[in-house]
Amino acid sequence: MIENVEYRAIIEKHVDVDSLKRLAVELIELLWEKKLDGKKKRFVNGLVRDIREGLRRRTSAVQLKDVGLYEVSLKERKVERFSEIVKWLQKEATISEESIQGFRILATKGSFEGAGEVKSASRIKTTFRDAFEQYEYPYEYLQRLLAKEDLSRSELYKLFTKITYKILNADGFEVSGGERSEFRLLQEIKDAQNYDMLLLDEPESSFDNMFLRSDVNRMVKEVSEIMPVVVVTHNSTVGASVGGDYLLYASKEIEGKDVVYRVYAGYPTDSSLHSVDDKTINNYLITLNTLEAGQEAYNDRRGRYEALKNRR
Amino acid sequence: MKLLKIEDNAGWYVNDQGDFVPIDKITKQDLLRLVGLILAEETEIDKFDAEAIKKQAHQLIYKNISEKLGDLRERRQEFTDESDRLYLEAHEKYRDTSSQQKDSPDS
Repeated sequence: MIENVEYRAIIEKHVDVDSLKRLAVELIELLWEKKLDGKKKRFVNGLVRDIREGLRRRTSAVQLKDVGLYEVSLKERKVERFSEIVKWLQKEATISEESIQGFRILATKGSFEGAGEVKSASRIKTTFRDAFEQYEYPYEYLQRLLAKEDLSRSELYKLFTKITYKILNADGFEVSGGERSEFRLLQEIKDAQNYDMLLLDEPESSFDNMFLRSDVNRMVKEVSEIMPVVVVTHNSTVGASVGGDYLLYASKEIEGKDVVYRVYAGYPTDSSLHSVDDKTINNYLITLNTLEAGQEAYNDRRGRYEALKNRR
Repeated sequence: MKLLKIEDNAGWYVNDQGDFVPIDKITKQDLLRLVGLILAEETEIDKFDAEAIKKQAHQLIYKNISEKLGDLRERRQEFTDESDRLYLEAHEKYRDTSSQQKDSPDS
């Protein structure tokens, strides 16, 4: 500030530059004094060290090592603080809550209930019974964990507090097995963005149609905007409702004594599909057969739907 | 001023009251004070003489302190040398302006 030219006017408006100079002089002198003090102290320390070593050589008595009381108390304080932090970590609480596609993922922390839980968190095959006895005393617990040779140090932090993940459905209840599969499927589809192509093999096998229609179809459509998506399906609304851009129909055909596997291809709106060896197949029929279990079943079902509708 | 002396087969140093105390009682604070005195004024130190001191501990302590303080006295100019001081240039420059300011009647 004393030397600054660019903002001279502003600086002079607010501070007296001569005072600043006097301040600088005083501070510099103080700095010199402190430096000289430091130099003197180093000189005296060197002198004391030489004398102490000289005396040590001339005595047979065992020399006491310097005891750093400050160090000792600092370490004690560290242990206390460590215990405080661990105790806090062991208190039950929700640590994160995330909403994904209508599900809520809840992460909670709490204390381990037994040595078995610690063992499964560690993922190693060793007993934690001895260590767990000290679980209430974090520092002792840590010492016992450190004594376990096959336990990597970088994994230790996992063994102080139990982290539990829960997936809750839209109603706030923990998900059922089926819902868990739905959640996983949605995650997988979402994850497809990281790959070049998405292959869905029989997504209908474990899900109900409503779920497939609403969530899976929507996501598959979104993904299909950026990459090829192939859905393999047998008998479900998936094929029809997903509204594919192109159809491949695989068929096992018996010709005389031979079994021939053919793939017919075409657009969903084409009246017939063609195979590479120039065979054709009626698109309407095979779509009905695959998706609706055949013309007869379709008609039967249509009749029943209509009867139900008329009754309302 | 005399800082260290040999008398009655023992080594002595001068404490902050100006009294002589046996050399083996010397503390770090005392040493620091002696260093300050050496740098600040003309001082006197009895030269170490192994014959004149009986106790071995006294010999060792007195020898170390007297030699090192003597050495420091020799190079005290160097020890407090201003040329290696930080910001010496700035100090000189601002000292002049600020002393003028202080001395001027209207400040």
